[in-house]
Amino acid sequence: MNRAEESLQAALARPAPAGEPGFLAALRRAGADDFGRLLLPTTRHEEWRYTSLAGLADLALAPAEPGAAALPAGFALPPAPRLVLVNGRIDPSRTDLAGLPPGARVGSLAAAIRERPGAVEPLLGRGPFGDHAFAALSDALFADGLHLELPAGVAVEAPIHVVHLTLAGAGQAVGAFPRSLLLLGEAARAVVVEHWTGSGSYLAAGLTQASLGERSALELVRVQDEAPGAFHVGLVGVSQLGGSRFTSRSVALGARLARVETRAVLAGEETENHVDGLYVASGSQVHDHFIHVDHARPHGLSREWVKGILDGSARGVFTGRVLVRAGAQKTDASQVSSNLLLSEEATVDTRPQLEILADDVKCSHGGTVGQLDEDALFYLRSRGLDRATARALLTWAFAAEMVERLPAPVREGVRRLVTARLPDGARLQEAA
Amino acid sequence: MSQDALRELTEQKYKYGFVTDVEADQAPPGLNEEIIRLISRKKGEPQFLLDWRLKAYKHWLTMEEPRWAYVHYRPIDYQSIVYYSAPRPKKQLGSIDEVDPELRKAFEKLGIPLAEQQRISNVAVDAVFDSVSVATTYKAKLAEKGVIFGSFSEAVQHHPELIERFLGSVVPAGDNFFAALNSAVFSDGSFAYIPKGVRCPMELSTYFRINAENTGQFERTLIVADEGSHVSYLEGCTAPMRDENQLHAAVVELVALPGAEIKYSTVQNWYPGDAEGRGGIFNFVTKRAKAMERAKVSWTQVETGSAITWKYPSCILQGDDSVGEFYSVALANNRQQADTGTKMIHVGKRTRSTIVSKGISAGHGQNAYRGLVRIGKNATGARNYSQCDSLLIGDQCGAHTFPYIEVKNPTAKVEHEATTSRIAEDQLFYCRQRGLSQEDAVSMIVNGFARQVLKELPMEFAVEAQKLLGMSLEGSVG
Repeated sequence: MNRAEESLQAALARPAPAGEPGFLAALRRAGADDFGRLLLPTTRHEEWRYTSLAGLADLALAPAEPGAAALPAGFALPPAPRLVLVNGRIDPSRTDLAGLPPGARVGSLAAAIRERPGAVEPLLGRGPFGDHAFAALSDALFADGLHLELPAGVAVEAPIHVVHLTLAGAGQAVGAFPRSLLLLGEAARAVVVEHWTGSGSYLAAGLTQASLGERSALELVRVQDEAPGAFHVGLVGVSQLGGSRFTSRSVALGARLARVETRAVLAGEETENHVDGLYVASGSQVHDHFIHVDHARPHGLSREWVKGILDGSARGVFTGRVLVRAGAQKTDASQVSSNLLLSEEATVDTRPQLEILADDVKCSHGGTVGQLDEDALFYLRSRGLDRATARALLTWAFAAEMVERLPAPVREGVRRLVTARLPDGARLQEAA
Repeated sequence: MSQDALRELTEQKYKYGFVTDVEADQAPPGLNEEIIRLISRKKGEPQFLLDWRLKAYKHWLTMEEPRWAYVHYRPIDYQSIVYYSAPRPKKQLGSIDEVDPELRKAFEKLGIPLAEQQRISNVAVDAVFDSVSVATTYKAKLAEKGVIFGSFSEAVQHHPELIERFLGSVVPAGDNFFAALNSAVFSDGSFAYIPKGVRCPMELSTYFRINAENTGQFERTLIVADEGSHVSYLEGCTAPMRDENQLHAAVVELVALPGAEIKYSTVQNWYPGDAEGRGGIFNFVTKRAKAMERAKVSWTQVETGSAITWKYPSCILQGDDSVGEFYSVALANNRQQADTGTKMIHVGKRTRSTIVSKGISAGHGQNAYRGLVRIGKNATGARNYSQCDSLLIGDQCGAHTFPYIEVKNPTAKVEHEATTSRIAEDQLFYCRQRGLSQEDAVSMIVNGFARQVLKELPMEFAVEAQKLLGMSLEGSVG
């Protein structure tokens, strides 16, 4: 066992918080046992082939303590309704849930488990993350997170912001395991925006589970701007009933190593599933997107599109897997991974995979890896732009396609974060 | 189409399912150091080869059978396999007429032009029966040009320096589980050496046949094309019908020295098992080529047989400006499973590779394309184009695509495209209203789908491959 595993085992050995219902104690025990068996994945695991957690292995992770520490520099709290978690626990002083329609339950998952265990229990499993070490850890160690429950027909117009702050003290790495549960009744609608940021050296391993009722619609936006010393593992599990629409839009910018794993089961007919991703990596950052879409019923549609911009000696990894089960006829699935390499040292590994067991389907995948187009650069320079600005403009254009798809209230904030990460992005700020 | 016609056609008998009654000289089943020493002794091998085998065996003992492929089968008992089976009597053969008449009959049934007087096509054949090479045709004519072509064991006797230099240079003894097993126990195979600047005057060909019961066939093929030479090589395979699964774990190594060109074509038609998935060959093969500066290697394969196919003919594009190609048609009908594809490892500058893979699934067949394109750090200006198309016939089968793309050089251009479709009703309807029968229409559409690959095959093989595709598929559309 490495240091991280030892420290996690120590955390798992601590007694669970008192007063939790029996089902939760059982869930935590099973999670601890499974992690003891699985330990952290290595590159010998096919699904982690290109993403090494060796850097994480050296960290001794202390359980994250609740704290009201200062916000990281440059981070402003989003408008209400917002839920703020510090080190995996809700910070009531910064949380503000004003502006929600009647009937919508939005609040703490821990409180929901305490108050209505019967309603939460059936949905709190690991879902599509059966033998996943980080899901096992989440079961065993999660403290709190967002609980969203929308009865049939309830629509929340304003985006619900969830801020995940992980604040590690000097010299002590911490681990935080926030857990969110999103339940949408028939024809309910919501937009949830997760902001991930922090300071110091830490592991932020979140698990968000969404269950979409018939004809409901959920848009989940993840803005990952973790501290440079952070390891980020974000698991998103989705199950969809007929006619529902799930949209995930991930913007990954920070962390030393970040992996977003989205697994969706399209369990009803005529469901739609969209997963977009944009990542900007430089230095020695590693950004990994893993998307698994399980078409279990006919007439499903899925679209995966991940774009990466890599500079320095950064690494980008894309794994997309579309499974079309027998009988899931008329499935329409596509996967695209597009990558822009800005330096000699940057590398990309991509695996767009199709597993098809039905015969009347339309499935396609594509992957591209390339550099900025010299002709386009020449054109811009012939119009009087210097080389650096021309490059910055073209790089931004590559990213903009994804940024423009974000819901209007968060678009501008993300645009600023993205341009700040791009090489010579300052030039774009001046121009804007 | 009516259910009866469908049943009739899918129950079509495997044409090559006959057993030849030839007395065989067999080793007892099982694998241990003694068996390996026995094989080596029987073949009168030099010490270096025995050492190499034993090293491979020791390494194999430490390895685990791979489980990542998209195939399912019951565990193989490696101790129940006969690792050496030679048709007896085995004496030194002076001419082709001395070959055992039973054997010759077997090859005639297969349509292999073993006897020179019956030959029409200009193909030199090395026939491998169970584990041992029995005859090579056209040897003298090849020798004129300095081309060495014949069985591996002969090459070990007459050209040990070439064997020692090139054996394991592309697929090392411990490369993977099945390659290590093959390195330890391989009994024969073909060897070809094309000298500098020579264009091989005819196509070289090997025919493999598994005959005896419970034997594994572990042949090893090594082809070395010296600088500026050119060779085209054909490989065909059949096996009799057996209820038991038989293991075939071959290794093929191609060495293309600077400026050389190797074209390697395979029509694999091992016994696929019956409609319920009983019997059939487990075809677990390692094929790899190394291409030096300006060399070109082209793999073309038509995979219609075997219960399970596990094979990834690969190219290591070592030298600058080298070229790798992979054209494949893989068909999985009934309970067949195929997990096949290629690896293109770009090491040298301006290396280029093309991958065209056509998978056809019918019945309960499962067909997976698994491929790797790796652009190394120094492969400036490398280029890859991959296309993987799948055709589904019926709703019980599966088509899967698992491409891996690794890019470590920003100047590389890598493209990957894949589509999955089924035979469209309107295409069928169009053919039908022009008077074609359902079967002919399906066969025509499938051949059209596979055309891009079939046209890469040498003529003699292209015709056979087309017939095979039609035969294996007719009637699988309901």
